[in-house]
Amino acid sequence: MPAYRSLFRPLAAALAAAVLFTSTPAAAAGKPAAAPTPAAAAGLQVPVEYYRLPNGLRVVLSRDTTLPTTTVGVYYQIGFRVEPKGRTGFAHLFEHMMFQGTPNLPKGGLDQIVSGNGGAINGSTRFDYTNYYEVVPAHVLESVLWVEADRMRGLDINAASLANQQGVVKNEVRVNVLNRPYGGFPWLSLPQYANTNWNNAHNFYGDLTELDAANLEDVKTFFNNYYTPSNAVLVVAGDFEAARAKAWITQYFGSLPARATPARPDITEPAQTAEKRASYVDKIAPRPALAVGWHMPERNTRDWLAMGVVDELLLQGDASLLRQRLVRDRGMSSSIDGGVNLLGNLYNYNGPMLFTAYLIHDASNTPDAVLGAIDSAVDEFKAKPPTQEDMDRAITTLRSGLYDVVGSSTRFGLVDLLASFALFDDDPARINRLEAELRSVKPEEVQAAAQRYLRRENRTILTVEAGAAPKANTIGGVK
Amino acid sequence: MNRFNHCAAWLLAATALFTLPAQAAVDLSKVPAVGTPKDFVLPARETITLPNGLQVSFIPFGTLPKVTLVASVRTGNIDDGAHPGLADITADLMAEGAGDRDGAALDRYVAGMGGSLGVGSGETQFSVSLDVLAERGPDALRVIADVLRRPKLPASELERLRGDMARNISIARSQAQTQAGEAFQSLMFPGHPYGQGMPSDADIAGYTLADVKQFVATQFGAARTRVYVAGSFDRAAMEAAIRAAFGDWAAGPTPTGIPSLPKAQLGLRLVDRQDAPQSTLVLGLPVVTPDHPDWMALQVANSLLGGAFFSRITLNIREAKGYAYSPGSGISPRTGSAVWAQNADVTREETANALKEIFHEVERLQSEAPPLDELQRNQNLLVGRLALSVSTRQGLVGRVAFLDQFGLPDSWLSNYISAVRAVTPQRLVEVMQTHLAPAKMSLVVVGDLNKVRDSVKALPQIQTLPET
Repeated sequence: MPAYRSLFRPLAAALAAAVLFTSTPAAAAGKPAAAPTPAAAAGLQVPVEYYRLPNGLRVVLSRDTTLPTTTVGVYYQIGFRVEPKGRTGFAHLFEHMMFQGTPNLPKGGLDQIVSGNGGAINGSTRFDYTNYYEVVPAHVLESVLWVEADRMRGLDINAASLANQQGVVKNEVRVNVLNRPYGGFPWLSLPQYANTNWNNAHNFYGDLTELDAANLEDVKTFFNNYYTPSNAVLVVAGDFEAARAKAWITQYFGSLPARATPARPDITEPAQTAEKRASYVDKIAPRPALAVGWHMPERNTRDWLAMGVVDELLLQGDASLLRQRLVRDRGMSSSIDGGVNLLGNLYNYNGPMLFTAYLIHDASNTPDAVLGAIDSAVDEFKAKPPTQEDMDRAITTLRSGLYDVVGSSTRFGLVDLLASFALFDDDPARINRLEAELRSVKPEEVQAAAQRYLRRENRTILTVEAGAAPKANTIGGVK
Repeated sequence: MNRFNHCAAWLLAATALFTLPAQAAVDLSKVPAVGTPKDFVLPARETITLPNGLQVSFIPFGTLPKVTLVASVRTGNIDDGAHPGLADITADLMAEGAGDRDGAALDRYVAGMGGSLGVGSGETQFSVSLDVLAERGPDALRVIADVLRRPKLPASELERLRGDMARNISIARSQAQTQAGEAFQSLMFPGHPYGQGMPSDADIAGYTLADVKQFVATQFGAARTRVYVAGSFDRAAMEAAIRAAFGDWAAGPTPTGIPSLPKAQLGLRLVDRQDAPQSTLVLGLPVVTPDHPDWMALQVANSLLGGAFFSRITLNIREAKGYAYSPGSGISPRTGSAVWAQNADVTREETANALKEIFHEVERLQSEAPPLDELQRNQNLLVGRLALSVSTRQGLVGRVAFLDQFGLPDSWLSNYISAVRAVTPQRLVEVMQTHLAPAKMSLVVVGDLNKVRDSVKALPQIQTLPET
């Protein structure tokens, strides 16, 4: 089901349990990961060709003819952190406007070209980018390059389509947040408490009144400011002929005029010096919930890389320590979830970020009891460096996951990594060094990073009170 | 030994839709024509049957060093007996250690292969699955055999797992979509396991270790089980591992038949959800199963009506009216049955208007043949999505298991493509009349009834629908 243009990421299994009829908004790129073990010493190697057009557009090509499909992604370096004050949710609303037609292609035409030829199309808005992507049978590539260049050239914006998409987006917020138990918990709510800089701490989905306040002038200004060739990366991955693809890229994107992008606001987050706690009542949630968010070290530092391993060992998968202690040993929930960047992964953001763990639990466990269990597991983790077996398991999991990213039939995850490394690091070939990067992390570095960042003064605790607590729950309580 | 027919899924996909020829002096305001589709080849499978009846399908696929293993057993909630959900708690407990590994050791062992263990039950199919690095394929296979044949079923974990199930169900039931889905299934399958919904707290409290052990002892066996191996693997090594791990497994009891299906209840079910800012709608009816000759044409009709993003209902209530974000329709097949339903979460104040538009689109297609280009877009979409869905290990296994579940030959998939392409505008209208008649549809509305009941009940299509 293409449910389109979503800011939303599928929530934990607990929230999704037993929905008989889903019309799930498109999945975000899954937990990514990294690369090979001794068997394949060189690790996974993806072909990467990278260049820049005179107007500043960065282009990444990665050819793989295993399947006769081609995936195109256009990533603009504008996320919901940087949207106009008084216009919360605007970056995402704007994303919807990119599907409303251009002077050359009426509304609906884009989907007719892509889906009507057997492909799939979507877009999403994240912290530091907004992306538009398609997977199509290989013979449709030229048309897709045209449509992406066409909407980079200009939009057909009118009052009717803006009003229509304001209605759609408000219904997106209702279905994913307002009419949903634990809606926005913790991915949307926690950053608003943990951060202090407005760019990191506002409601990214948008207050309904501010969504309503958006006008045509806002749309034009945002487009002119941020939807420029030099602020974007074009990725083409899959089955294509390089010479022809490059000729089409030159033909369709090359004539777009270069435009300047305005200076960025300061998105830095001051260091947190004391633990923060917040709580709210969710009127339709049947059980309480708790989240802990720790500020991450700066991206691309050694500590940041080590935190990638911390995440894997502490929180990812059934074997992780928090899962073992809270789920298996204490029976507090069927799962504890989270990670670095709840709307993506370790790599696809570029600014302040949280490492988050969250769970839904029973009222028979107080928030302090749950927090105590988390603290105890985190302290256990910090007490000694991981064993070699732990390190091997983390690398194996990351490697296995990277194969799935690369091997997915849509290649959306692959395109996401290539685009992120081009946008934020000017180095898409970094994808081929992910395993080596992670292998370079020593167990002592993992322990040291955990000790430095998984501290109380560096964290925010958010609890959700169950406004719809069950009447008499006979067996929900635990040991 | 079975093989898929190779076929050229996109060979016929060229469309007349955007055929403006590329011009010498390029006019950037014109969409370039699409090229010529390439051949697409469906991966083939090879199936062997062990003397005890266990069937194994090998599906070599892709170049990445990973392999997916799934064991599918013909049991599930139809075998719950007096304990709704017993199959689910059994699945949960089977994941808590097997062979010589307790639960924690199993978690670590499996993570060390680059995978995670999945044990789960559906209504008629119970599955144990692992997706791992290719070189660990035989090890993963032995884990699956341990889980199926030597689960520890530790008494110490039962209370915790019952608590997890109760919690997760209470969370699921707090979602409007689950409330609507359970109400709708109860209308489609009154008194049948397919319509029973999720277990109650009392059901969950009633599970005992003896119930679980009895379920494992009586519902599993080689003759009920199919193993699927897809991806990169050493065929000989994998077959040897399978014969060693499963060769001496007893055939086991004959699978349970599906209890005979009741007649669906035609009706309107209103479920109150105070202060809900949206109304959650499910409109639908029973339709034919995948073995029926109309199935493929019905898929096309569904896509055009509500299944695709460019379907009529979505373009109407989302892209024209803005009443909803992610409306959609689909056909859910179960063994012996299938149901078509349109789902939508719509602005509370527009509940009746949204329903009016949905009915309008269903009714319009009862008589008015769709334009050929619109039909072709939907045909291309279905063929393209099939190609994408069989281009992953898990997708391939899913499709092949679907064929096995419904007793369909492997040629069904390639026929699917030609049958989808063969649907004409007139045929689509006939299928709509035969299978998607609005007068036979039941409706569930979950919402703030004080605010939406009257306007919904005033709709002409609803007035004849008995409230149940």
